[in-house]
Amino acid sequence: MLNSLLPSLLPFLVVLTLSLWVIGAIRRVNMWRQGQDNPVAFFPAIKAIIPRYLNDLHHVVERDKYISNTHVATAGGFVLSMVLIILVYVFGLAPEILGKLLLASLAMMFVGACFVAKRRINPPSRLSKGPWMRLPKSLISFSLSFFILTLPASGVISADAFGWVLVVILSAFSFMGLTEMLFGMTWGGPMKHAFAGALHLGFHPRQDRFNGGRSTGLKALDLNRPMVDKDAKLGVEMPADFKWNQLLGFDACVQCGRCESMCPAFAAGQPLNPKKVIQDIVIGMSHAQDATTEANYYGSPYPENQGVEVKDHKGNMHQPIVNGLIEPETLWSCTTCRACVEECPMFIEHVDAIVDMRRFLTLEKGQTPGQGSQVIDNLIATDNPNGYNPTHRMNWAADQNLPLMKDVKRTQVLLWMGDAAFDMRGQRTLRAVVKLLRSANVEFAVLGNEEKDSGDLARRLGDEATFQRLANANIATLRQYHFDMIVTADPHSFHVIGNEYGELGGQYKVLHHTTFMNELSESGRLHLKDDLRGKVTYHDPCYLGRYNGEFEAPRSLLKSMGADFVEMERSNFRSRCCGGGGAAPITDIPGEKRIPDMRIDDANATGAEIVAVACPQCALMLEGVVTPRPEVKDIAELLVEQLVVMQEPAESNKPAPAEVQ
Amino acid sequence: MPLSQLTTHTLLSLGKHPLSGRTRRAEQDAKAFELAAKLGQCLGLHAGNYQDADALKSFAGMSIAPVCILEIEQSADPVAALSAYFKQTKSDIILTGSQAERGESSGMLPYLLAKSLDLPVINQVCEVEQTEAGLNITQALPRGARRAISVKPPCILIIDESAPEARQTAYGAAMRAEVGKLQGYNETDTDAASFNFEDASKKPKRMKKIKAKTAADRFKAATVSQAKGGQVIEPKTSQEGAEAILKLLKEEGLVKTN
Ligand code: SF4
Ligand code: SF4
Repeated sequence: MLNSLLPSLLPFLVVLTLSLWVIGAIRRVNMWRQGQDNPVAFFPAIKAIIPRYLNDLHHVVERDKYISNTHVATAGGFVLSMVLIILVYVFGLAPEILGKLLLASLAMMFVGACFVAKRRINPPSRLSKGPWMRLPKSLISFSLSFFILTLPASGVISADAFGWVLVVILSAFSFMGLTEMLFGMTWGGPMKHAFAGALHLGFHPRQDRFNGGRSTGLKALDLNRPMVDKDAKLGVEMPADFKWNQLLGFDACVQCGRCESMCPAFAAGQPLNPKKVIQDIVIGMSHAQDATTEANYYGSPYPENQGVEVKDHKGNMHQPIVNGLIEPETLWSCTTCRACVEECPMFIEHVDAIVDMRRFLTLEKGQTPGQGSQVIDNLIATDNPNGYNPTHRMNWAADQNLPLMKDVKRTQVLLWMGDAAFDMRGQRTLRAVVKLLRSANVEFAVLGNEEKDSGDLARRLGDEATFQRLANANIATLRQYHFDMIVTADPHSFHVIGNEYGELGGQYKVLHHTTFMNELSESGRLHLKDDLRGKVTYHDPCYLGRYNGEFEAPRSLLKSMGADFVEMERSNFRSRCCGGGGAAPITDIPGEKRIPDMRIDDANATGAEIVAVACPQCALMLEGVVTPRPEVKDIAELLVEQLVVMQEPAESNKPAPAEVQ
Repeated sequence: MPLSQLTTHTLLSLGKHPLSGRTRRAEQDAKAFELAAKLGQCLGLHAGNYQDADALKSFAGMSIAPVCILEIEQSADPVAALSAYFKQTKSDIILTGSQAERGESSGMLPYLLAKSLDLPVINQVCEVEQTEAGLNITQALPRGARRAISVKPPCILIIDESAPEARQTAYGAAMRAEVGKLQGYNETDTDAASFNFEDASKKPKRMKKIKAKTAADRFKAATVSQAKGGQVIEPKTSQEGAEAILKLLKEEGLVKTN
C-alpha cells in the first residue's frame, strides 16, 4: 500500500507547492496593481528580463565577487533544477537522461547554497537576519534531498535502494525546501525577491536605465490634477499612491543592505536607512498580504530615530506613510545622492520614492521642515533661495564686462551662472571660469539678471510647483536666444537643465565646465603648466558623477596640470556625498556626525594637500569643515593658477583672428 | 458666553515683496491668521476686488479657515465696507496686521474700524490665549519686554512683528480652495481720491564710519544696542506727557516752533 503511494508522493508535493505558487503570484500581482497606472508594454518587458538580468543586474552584483558567483550557482542551479524536477517528476519525461542533468544542476545549487551558508556564519551588519538566516538551510535541504531522491530515479543506483522511511524523511526535507522556494516566493519570504525582482527588471519605471543607459532626472508631476479632480493629490501619501511598478520594485528588495552601507546619512547617524525606507513601505503595502512581513524586520534600524522602535512601524496600503510607517525626519535626511540607487542590485529607485513622499508633505501638507518653507518663499518671491534682490544677480560681475544675451542675442556658449552668483565663494569660481573662457577665446555670454534659479532646490524640497514655474520661466528666456551650448560650473543646474527641462519643452546641449575645459585643453585652446604642486585628490559631485556619468574630465584636467593625484577610498560612482545635495543643509536633520566632516576625513586619509571640487555646493560644504583639512579648490581655480597666458586676454570675447596661434 | 462659540475674523490683504515687488500673502496678516487658528470659528476676510481671489489662495492654502472677499469698488473705502459688514455680522475678535504692504499703508484701518464699531483695540499682540473670562493677551513692548493684558471680547487685535511665524502655504490646498464672495458696501473714499501716488525714491543713507578693528569689535558693534541718552518720564497728567513729547519733537526739529 505504502510502497505504491510513495512514488506519487514527490510529484504530489511538487504540484501542490506549484499551485500555491500560482495562487500567491496572482495575489501579489493584484497587490501591486493597487498602485497607480504606469503602462509598460507587456511583451517587450517580459522579453527584456533575461538580458537585463545577465547584463545590468549582474554588472551590479559583480561588485561583490563572492556573492555574484554564489548567486549564479544557486539561482542558476535552482531555476534549472526546478524545470527539470517538473519534467522528471510531474511529467515523468526521460528520467534516465534528464535525471542525470538534474543531478548536476542540484549539485551546482548545493555548492552555491554552501557559500550562502558560509556568508551567513558571521554576516555583515548590512544584511538582514531573521528569516534570511534560514534561507541557506532551506537551499541546502532542497538541493540535497532532491539530489539523493533523484539518484534512484535517474537510475544511478538501484530503484529500491532506499527503504520507505528514508524516502519519507527525504520527501519531508524536499517539501521544506519546496515551501521556501515556491510558496515563499509568492507568499512573502526571502525568495520573494526572485519573483518580484525578475518582473521589476522587465517592468521597471525607468526603462532607459538599462543597457548602459542613464535615467536620473525626476519625472514631472501634473500640477493641474487637483483642479480637475478634487480628490487627486500631489505626491505620495500612502503606499497605494505609488505607481504600481514602484510597488513592484519595493517588493523586490533582497535586504542585502548595500544601499545602507553606501548611504552618507546613515553613516552620519541621521535617522535614515534606505533599506529600511523600502522595507517600511513593504510592511505597509503587504499588510493584508503576508502575515509574515508585518513589522518583521531584522536589519539595521534608522539611527537616532528618537524613541521609535522597528516594531512601531505600522500601516497599510491606504493609510498615510508618514508618521505611521516612516517619520518625516527620515525623508528629509536624504541628500538625493543616489549612492543607494547606484548600488542596489534590484534597481530600486529610492530617490524617486523619497521625493514622491516629500512632494506630498510640501505640496499638500505645507510641512517642509527647517529653513525649507523660507527658502521656498524666497524662490517664489525672488527667484533665488536666499531672498536676494533678483536685480542684483549680476552684481558680482560689475568689473567683468560680461556680454549679456539680451544684447548679443546669439553666441556660442551661454555661461549659466547659477545661484553661486550671489555667494562670495561661488563668485571666485565664476571669475575663474570667465578667465578661462577668455583665455581660450571662447565666444560666450550670460543671461545676467534674466537668469533664475534652476529649480533644483525647489524640486528636491518637493515643491514641484515652484520648480515648474522657474523651469518654464528659464525655458521661455532661453527660447529668445541662439546659442550652441550651455556651460555651467554648477552640477545641479547642469543636471536639471540637461535632464529635467526636456520634459517641459527645453532641450539643450549642456556641458559641465570641467567637460568643456577638458575639451579646450585637449584641443590645445587652453594652455596649462604641468607643475601643479602638492598632492591632489578629487571629490566627485553626485550630480556630475552618479547623475551624469562624468568622472573622467575632471581627472584628466588634474592630470594634465601635472597633479600628484590620489583617489579617495570612495570615489567615482561610489563617491561619498558632501552632504550638500537634496536640500539637506536646509532641512538640516541632526545626526551624530556631519556628512562633510566624514568626507574631509576621507580626503585627509589620502594625505592630499588640495581637494579639488567641481561644484559650488561641494566647495561650501567642504570648506565649512574645521581645519586641519586640505585646501578646497574648484578645478576652475586650479586651472587659472596653471594657466599659461599666450596673449593679452582680448577685450571682447569674440574669437581671435585666425593668425593668432 | 461659552468660548467655543467665539467667532473670529482675520482681515487679510495682499502683500508685496519688498525686493521683487511680487504679490504675496501679506506677512503680518498671515501671522494674524496663524493666531486666529486657535480662536474659535474663524473666517479670513478681504475687502477688495474679486479679481484678487487667486492671489488670496495663498492664505487659503494655510488650511486654517475659509477665505472670503467682501467685494467693493476700486474707489470705495474698505473701512466703511468692513464696518458695515461687522455691524451686520457679529464678530468677537477681529485680527489684523499692523500695516498693509501696498496702497496707503497708513496702519490706520484697525483704529478707524474700532472707532466706527466702538470696540477696544490692542496693538502689538504677540500671543493670545482663551480663558474662561475672555482673552489673555501678551503684548510686545520694545526691546523684548512683554505685558500681559486681559480683555473681554469683542475687540480688535493688531498683530506684532514678534507673533509666531505663519505656517507654510500648501500649494495643493491653495489650488483646491474656493474663495468666497460677499457683496460689500460701497462708499467712495473721498480722501484717497485726492491722493497722488508716486514711487518712493531711495533716500541717501549716511555711511557709517567703521571704527572696529577686529572681528570681535565688529560683532559687538552689530549686536550691542547703540541707543544712548533718553529718559523715562512718568507723567501725572496727559497734558504733562503731551508737553514732554512736543518738547522732544521740537528739539529734533520735527515740529516747527512758532
Ligand atoms: S533596496 Fe536594494 S540595495 Fe537596499 S537592501 Fe534592498 S535590494 Fe539591497
Ligand atoms: S540618496 Fe543618498 S542620502 Fe538618500 S537614501 Fe540614498 S544613499 Fe542615502
